[in-house]
Amino acid sequence: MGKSFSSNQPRLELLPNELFIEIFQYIDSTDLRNFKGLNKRIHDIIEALRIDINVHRMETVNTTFLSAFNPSQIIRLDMRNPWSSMNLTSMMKLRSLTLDCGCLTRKQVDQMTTLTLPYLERLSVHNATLELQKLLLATIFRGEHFPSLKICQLKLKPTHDLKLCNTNRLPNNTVRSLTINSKWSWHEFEFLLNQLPHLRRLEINLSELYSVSVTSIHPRSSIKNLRITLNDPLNDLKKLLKLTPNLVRLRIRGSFGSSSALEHFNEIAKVLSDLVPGLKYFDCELYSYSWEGSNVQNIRWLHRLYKDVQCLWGQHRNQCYATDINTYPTPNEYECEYLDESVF
Amino acid sequence: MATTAEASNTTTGNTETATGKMIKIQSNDGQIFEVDQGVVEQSSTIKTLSDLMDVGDVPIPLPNVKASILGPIVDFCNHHKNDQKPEPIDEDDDDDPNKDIYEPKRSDDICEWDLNFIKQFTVPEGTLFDIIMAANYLGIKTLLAVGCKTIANMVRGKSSTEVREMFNISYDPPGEGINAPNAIEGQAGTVPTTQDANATGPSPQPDPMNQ
Repeated sequence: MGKSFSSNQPRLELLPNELFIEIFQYIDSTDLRNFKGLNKRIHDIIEALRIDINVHRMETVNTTFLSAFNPSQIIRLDMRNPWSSMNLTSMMKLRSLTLDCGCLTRKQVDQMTTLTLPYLERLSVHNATLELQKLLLATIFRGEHFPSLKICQLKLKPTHDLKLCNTNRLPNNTVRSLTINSKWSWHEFEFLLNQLPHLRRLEINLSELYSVSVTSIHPRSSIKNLRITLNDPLNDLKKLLKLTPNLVRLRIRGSFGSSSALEHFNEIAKVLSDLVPGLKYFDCELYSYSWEGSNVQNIRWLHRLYKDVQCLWGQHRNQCYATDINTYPTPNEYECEYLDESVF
Repeated sequence: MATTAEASNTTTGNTETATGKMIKIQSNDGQIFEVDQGVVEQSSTIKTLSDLMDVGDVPIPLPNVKASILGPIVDFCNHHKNDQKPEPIDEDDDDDPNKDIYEPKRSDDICEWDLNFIKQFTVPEGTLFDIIMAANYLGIKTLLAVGCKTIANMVRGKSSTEVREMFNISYDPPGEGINAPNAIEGQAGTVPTTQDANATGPSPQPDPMNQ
């Protein structure tokens, strides 16, 4: 750096290999391809890199640049645009995979449930059909095709009720985070906890009516982070939190209906103190429709974790008590369109 | 460089200020800069040296950085010394499906002050590479990131030819490197080995013996 260089010297090439690698971490694979083959040194550095392919960001999918890379270099694929020639069997080193099922060919969907991706750690599937979701869950529970999988997110376009085949299987001890937006019954929830005993983060919709006893379900000390939609927030929470005594984060979504939000928050505060004393973070998206005025200040005083609760107003006296959103979400399934004043 | 003190003006002894103990650092061309703990904390190299050595009044020598680069680096660290420290990584973040640890790093998030700062360093003068190498040597991650992001932003959408011209990237000698007869065997890429007037891709170096 202290030396002087003539203006036509290839100064970029004075950088050591580790700085080339540092720079290349910020360069998109479509642009990185243009460094490939400039000279042997740069070519060899790029050959050793891990490559991220993001078809989602491309306005028109042009994947010809991929021929510059060895498929085993590709460790991340985000594909939410149609790409009919994409062949997962050539990407056996994938660590992270994001797919939109609405863009997949039949062959690609079949690959999803039959292919073994030994290094895959994160799987995110959007717009999954109910059938594919069931197949994927069965695949994940078995742990054979994705033995390294830790984080799994399955999103159905319309939210369906999910029924699982509860055949006896060995538990999957690797998965630690599961997000599924389909509706589960408590019965399926019990099965899920048994199949994934090391879950730390769970995002799930348990809005089906409570139909079976949960007293037989053993508490799961591994669960630290729960994001849950409940049919009856207060009563379901009383049952659920008995199963997650070591909870650190909780986000709850649901509706109080026309009941008093203040009373519900008060009861929930007691449940939190009794059942999950180690809770550090609380978020909510709790709906109500009533002529009761906003009690948000009184609610905040009920529990130390309620300090960020605010009241968002929708139309027709619809309210949402929330901590992590700033505008009333519309549409939402809890919104009451016609309020009869005589009811209150 | 209001925050720097040149060697000739430096008073004796490491001084104590409102921001704590002052440390002297010396560029490879002999210029001394006096920096406070807020600056020292941003450079793992200076911090390690100042912790290990009882430097007293002796400036810490930085033999890989010249004064014209070290001065702006001190400015950069002075500007950022009161920045909010990044929140410690929550172990729950590892489980968040919306946070993909394999996602590439962003290059479009350089703040306005840093954008103006880095403009004083250029490719033709080579100072952009100097600042990157100095940031790496001094262990200043934030500055290293700004430099690397700047290069990444410069090549966005550029062809191979444009990249080669922009950085004056050398060709392999004829018959060697990627021009070697068997160079593309076993390679996944379609690396061109002959010059194609229509190609935007890289071209082999003209043989100087034929010129």
